Amino acid sequence: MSLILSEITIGLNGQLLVQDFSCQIEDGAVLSIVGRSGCGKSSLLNMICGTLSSSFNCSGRIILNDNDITDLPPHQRRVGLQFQDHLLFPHMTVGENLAFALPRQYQKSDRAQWVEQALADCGLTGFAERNPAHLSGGQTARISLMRTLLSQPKALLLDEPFARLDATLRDSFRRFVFAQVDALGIPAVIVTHDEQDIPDKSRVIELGQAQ
Amino acid sequence: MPAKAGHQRHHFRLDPSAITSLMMVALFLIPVLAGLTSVIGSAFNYLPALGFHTFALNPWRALLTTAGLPHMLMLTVCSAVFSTLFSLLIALGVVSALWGTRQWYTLQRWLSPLMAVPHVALAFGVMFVLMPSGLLPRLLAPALGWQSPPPWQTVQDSYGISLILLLVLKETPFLIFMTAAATAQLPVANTLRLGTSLGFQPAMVWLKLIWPQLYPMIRLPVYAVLAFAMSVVDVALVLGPANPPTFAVQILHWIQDSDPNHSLCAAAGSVLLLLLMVMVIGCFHLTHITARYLTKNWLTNGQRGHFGAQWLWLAKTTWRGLLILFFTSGGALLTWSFVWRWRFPSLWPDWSWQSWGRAWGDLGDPIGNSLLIGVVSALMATVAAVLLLESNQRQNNTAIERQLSLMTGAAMYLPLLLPQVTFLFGVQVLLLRWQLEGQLLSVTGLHFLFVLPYCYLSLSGPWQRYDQRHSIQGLLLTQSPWRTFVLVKLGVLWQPLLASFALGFAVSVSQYLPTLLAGAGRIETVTTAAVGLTSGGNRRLIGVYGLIQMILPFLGYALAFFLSHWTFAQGRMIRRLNS
Repeated sequence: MSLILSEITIGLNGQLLVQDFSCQIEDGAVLSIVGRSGCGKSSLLNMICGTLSSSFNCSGRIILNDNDITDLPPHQRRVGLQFQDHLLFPHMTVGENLAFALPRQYQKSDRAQWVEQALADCGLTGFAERNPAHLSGGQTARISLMRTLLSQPKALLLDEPFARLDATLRDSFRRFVFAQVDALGIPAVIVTHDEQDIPDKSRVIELGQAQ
Repeated sequence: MPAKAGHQRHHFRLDPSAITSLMMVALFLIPVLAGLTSVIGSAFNYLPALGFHTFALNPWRALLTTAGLPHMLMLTVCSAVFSTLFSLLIALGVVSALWGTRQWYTLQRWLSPLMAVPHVALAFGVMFVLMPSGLLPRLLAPALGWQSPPPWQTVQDSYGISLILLLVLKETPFLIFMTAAATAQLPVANTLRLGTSLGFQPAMVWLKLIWPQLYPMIRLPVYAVLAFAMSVVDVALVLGPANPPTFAVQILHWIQDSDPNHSLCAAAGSVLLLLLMVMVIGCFHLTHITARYLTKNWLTNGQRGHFGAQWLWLAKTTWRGLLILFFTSGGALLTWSFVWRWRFPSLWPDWSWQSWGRAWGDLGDPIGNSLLIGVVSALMATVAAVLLLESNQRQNNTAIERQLSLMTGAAMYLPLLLPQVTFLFGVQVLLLRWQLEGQLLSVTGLHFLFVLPYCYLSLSGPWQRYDQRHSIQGLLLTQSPWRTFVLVKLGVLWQPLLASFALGFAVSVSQYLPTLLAGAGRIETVTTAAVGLTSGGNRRLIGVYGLIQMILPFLGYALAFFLSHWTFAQGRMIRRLNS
């Protein structure tokens, strides 16, 4: 069980951003991708989750848990994505943001329990009725991650998830994220500029050089 | 491995969006262009519906020999140009004076309700304030010793001054609204900081640095205001000069005349009005280019401003004056609707419910029609605007798609830029030929043509500002594209959507000419009924109808506010949809 990227090539306007990129990320492992701005890190993540704009030319295969998800639409891929802005839906409360991510087959009472449990897991019990606009940066980041995890993804993509946080929050949120990845045992890919964001034992690939 | 880009095709389909966009624009433009074609044919004596089957120049001969034609044209051009220039200067002055202050945010909140008030209702209000026995002369009477109304023609004056005042009063909020939207796309705060750090007065920073960037962005709305002022009929009937009237009013008289030759004259007049408008807009454009050239040296002459404070004060004071006139007009309408007797120069009338009692029996149909046509056309227009904006947003990848997207935006301005009377006359001829005249469906369809541009323009800002990553996040949380669109995108944009609906409803309520021409006198709305009362001169009934016309758009806004609060403020709708 793993995430396999096979011979991924991404180009834009005749320029190759990523060329023949291949790798395998085992469950519970984290692949760290570093590289200069514009080298195609975020494009690679977008291709994995299926949201790359059609103006890009791309090829290659993406295999998740032995299933080829290359041609699947984003909502059927079961790949979670964390942005650096940790966007919460502004028209929903914190609890509703979390409930939104839960699979539909869950009963109403179960949904409330899952939301409460998720809030407890990220140390924000009692925040369900809060407005996302009134949360701090760290609280928003944790809720956003919990929301992604509640959708029960089979792989997690992190697009510079710590970039907007201050040093103290950054450290605690980093530990929180990798603990969650470890606990769930799913493959994760992190794109970062900062070497401190790279977890121990993570495989590191510098895009543009080690493809 | 072969190149494979297929996995994106599921979500960024190009062709269907482009086709949807093209079809919508075509559906929208067909009646406009058909109307134009029909009116041009009629202008050259080809009007089969009335038995004219050969092309000839007779209508033009009749038109050009009309008594007072140059006067009417001059009146039309002058009232339109002066009202547009004053509105533009006041709008730019107000934005420059208030931008970034607390008053600016208050102003922005109140702009939509100010714009929602129908022109005709406001025209009646202004008439009740300015007329010789109006509120203003009554206020001045004790000081000036007047015992009877002064013998001045303060409304329907031959120079069109009261008409210009009304147009300034109504169009300034619209231009402030459009300018505010344009400033959001410019780095105004940084420019002001930079300019003042170089020693320029804030007013001078606006004049030298921001206005030159701002004006090209609001050029189309300015032209729309100019076109509206040149072709406006309803308020010109209330406040404009009567003998001779403005040219658009004269065209309407010809259209309503039973002599078929006058219909041909109306068609030629409509084409002439269109040509005149193209010429005036061309002059505006040339003036802008010339001004840009002539002010090149002034921009870099190092003058940091001496008159800034006075200029800003003047703009603010004029705006306050307009606001006072606006609210006084509303008050005057309310007062007149309850007046039994009001002797001059008394400030306190004898009150009565009689006018309401008298009007109530006749109000059912006009109110019902206004509500039905308004709600249906606003709903249709909001949905169509969403479809157009969505398809535009999905096709921004190639140059052709971007062109298509720009074309859609430009097409939305067409009904606002064309003189209403020009293409509506053509549409009326077509409706007559297809026997669709006087039907609710035709009136609603025509209202839709005028409502859609406002809904589209009011939604395009929020649609552009919407962070697409919300939708991406929604999809990746394994929600279907449809659920993501409804629950996330429409949820985030719910308030602008409701505001757009309310604006569309207000625009529909205020439509006079489309209702009159497509309704053929059989479909009466509050607006057509109110304008119809002008000739009778019963101020009490005018007060009742004007007030109802003023209240109706606020009902739309109240409904939008209630829906917004009820559905999302407490997260109720999301809970319901998620449970």
